[in-house]
Amino acid sequence: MTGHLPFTVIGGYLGAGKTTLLNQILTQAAGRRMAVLVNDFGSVNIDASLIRDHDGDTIALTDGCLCCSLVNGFAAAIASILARAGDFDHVIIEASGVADPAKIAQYGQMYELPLDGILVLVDAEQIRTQATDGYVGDTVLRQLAQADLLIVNKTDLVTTSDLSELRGWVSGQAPGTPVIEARHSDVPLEVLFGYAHERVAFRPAAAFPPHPEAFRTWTLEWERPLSLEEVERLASGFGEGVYRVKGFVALESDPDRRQVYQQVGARWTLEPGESWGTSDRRTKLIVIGRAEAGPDPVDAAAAMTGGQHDLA
Amino acid sequence: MTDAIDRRRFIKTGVTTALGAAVTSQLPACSGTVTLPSGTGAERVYHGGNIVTMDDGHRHVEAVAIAGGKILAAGSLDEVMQTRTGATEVIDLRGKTLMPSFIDSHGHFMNAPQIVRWANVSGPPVGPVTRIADFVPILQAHVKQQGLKRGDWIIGYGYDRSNLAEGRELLASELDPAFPDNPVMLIHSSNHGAVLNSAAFAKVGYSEQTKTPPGGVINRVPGTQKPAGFIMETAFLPIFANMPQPSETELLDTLDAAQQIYARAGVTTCSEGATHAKDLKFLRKGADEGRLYLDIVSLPLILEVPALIREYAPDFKGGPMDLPDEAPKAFGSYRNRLKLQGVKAPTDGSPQGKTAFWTQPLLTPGPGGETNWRGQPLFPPEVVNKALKAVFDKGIQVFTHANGDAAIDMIIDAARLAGVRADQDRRTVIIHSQCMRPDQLPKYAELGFSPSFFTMHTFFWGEEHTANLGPERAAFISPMKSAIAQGLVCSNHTDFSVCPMDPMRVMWSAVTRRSRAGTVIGPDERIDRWESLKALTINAAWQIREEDRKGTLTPGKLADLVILDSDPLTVETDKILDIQVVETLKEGKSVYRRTAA
Ligand SMILES: [Zn+2]
Repeated sequence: MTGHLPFTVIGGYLGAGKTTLLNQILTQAAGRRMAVLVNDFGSVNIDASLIRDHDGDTIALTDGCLCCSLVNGFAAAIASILARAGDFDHVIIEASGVADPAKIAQYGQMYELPLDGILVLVDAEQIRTQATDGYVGDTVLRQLAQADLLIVNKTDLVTTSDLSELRGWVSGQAPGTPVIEARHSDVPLEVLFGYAHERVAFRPAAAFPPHPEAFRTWTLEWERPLSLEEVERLASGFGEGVYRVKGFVALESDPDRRQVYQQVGARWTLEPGESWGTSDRRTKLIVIGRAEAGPDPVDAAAAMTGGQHDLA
Repeated sequence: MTDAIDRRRFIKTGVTTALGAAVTSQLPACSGTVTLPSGTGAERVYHGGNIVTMDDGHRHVEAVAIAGGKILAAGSLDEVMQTRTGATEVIDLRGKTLMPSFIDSHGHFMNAPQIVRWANVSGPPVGPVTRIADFVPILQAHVKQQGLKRGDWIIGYGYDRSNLAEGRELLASELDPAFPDNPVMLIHSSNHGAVLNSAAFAKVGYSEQTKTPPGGVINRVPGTQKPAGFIMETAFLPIFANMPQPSETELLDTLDAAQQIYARAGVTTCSEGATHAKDLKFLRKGADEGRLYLDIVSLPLILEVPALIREYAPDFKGGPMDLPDEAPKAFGSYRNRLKLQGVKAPTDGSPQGKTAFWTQPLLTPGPGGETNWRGQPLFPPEVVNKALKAVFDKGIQVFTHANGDAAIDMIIDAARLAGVRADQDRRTVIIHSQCMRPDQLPKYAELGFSPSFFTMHTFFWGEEHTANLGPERAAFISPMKSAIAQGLVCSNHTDFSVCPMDPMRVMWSAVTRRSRAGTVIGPDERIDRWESLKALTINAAWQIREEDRKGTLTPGKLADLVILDSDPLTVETDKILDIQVVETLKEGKSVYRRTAA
């Protein structure tokens, strides 16, 4: 019953922007029905016009999303979500500022929810100080090490040289973990979700929220089926400026089914999905990258395999 | 019935008014009387026993008189007998001990309505189980006593393989013949696991096909995939969280049995030391329906305070950390025996669960196998500082839960930032203060902090603390002797239902600090018996600002009394554990009386 409700843990120390991110998720879910479990109900600041019902520990939104307080404990909150699991597409759990997000992830797995990913927000301005704090320094460093995706937030508050130094420091704390940068927790939802490989929530690129400064989105398409080597070449061809790639691949060697392609940073997977049915048998990938990186990384990758891209 | 106590009525007519009028002089505490309206006198006089006042000045008196739920006189037999009237009942204690009843300085009353519906399958000293064969008869008796029907859940608490002579887990197949149609769940003493019978496995949907979740344990019948009985951690916790909950009426009906857990231990003031909004609603209902005959002191959890005090400030529009000006009105007075005394601010977890917050790492791995583990705070220091300042600024009493020395440091920092000083008489109570450092004691004195210790840890977890903390840090857990030497007012608690509601065992642990294995954990921190009893009476009263009405046998205070079958100040040390409560009185009214053996 619950096996298809992926969940995401959002961690990070106090002030890193978790609540801002949650507010964005709630108001920009655009058709994906999110159940969001938060620590501090009072700080979630939802536009009153979006609220359908406010009942004690839950706020129901007009678009099917739900915000639920963790004040009575994780078990109670998750039980109320699972009681109506069919009403949601995704569960998001806000870890408290001092929690180990990996532990929260383990709680979720107790309920047989597939873990979609652990996102950890980092306050670009404060993180170095926090990491040496006598009370919480070790906790902050553990949070970084547990992330599947690190979001270095509030980059507008630091100088370019500090930021580039910070990049090095962060990758030293969490080697191999993809890192993206953001201001005001402004990250496209497509970057945040879909780590779980069981299903892909696919939306047309046009529905992406506006985020002109930091991110850029491309759609790549191929008319002909790709070989496995071509997919491998493509995957390693996306440069550093690409955060996230997802979509379906038409694979030469398996013509009847579509293949689900997922990539975060350098990590990627390709897994058999459902049959094509009546849909168009063509490879279509959505690529999200850093705007400053320019079109080059995507161009290069696409050129290797003869793909075409539009700037979305 | 009781009756170790001899009750005789003295009927004398014609002297009532004269005597009543004669005893109006105010004498010093514990040896005197209070002003009586003319025409009244003692309802009852106790004498002929060992009467312990818990007052440092006059530790013993010959007799005590009570009237109108209060202590009327305490002193020599002659003095006290002057309050006697024709209707006075004079009770000869026959050598038994009468003293102020005990005050639970920290525990969780809301665990009691649950526990009274469950069977105690703990091992000694908490319960009766020592071998596999004990379970079925205990559960059968529980079914009978609770009137459980076919299909009802049978729940036991305190299960632990280490109590069993066989040294192995109980099996579902050993419960099935006696309970084929009732699901049985015996919860492990850690609350992280349980043994289920086959009916229970069927009910929760566990079978051969059930995969063991990550981080969980499902013991299997050898050679098969069939669940054998014992499950743990992630295989247990979701099941437990989704157990059917009793209705409010069912819970209200347990309030008598719940209070009896306290009354039969000689306790008449109970602590609900971490109250959620829904629990407070329940307790208010119980109180307003007149179901409480003991006092309950509730400490609402800090995060829920704005919601709880809404009735006092319906139009308040502040953020989660703000408090309305009216907030203090919610605290400090009883309504139908229920009182909110202060705000509970938890800052860390438990040392035995390795979730406390220390400055120095443990010598053993963390709960998830972490190396160099020193635990974590529950909230960032910035949040603690801000939240506590809001409460301090409103003059509301703060009770914090802090076990590890780093958590205690955080509270010290927060109090300093809020401008807290000892001369403000705030009586900030640091519940547990379990793993203090010596340098923190003078800071407690400077800030007017008062520790509520938990010395029973030396018995229940003495060996674990020595292994985790090393002998030197372990020797300083609940450092009561040093705290008293520093001039701090200390109470001592059970943290019920973490440990049993047993004040005599609390006292014994403070006096002996002896572990299960017989080792003395911190011999320098052992205290004398008088101090150990003050921690259960007058000092606990002081912490909840009731020292003017509870905690000593002083005229004018409430007649909250306990009669014990022997004297805790003089019995052989290990006999303290065998002391029995003969009778407990709340404001002069008997709320528990031991039935004759
Ligand atoms: Zn407690």
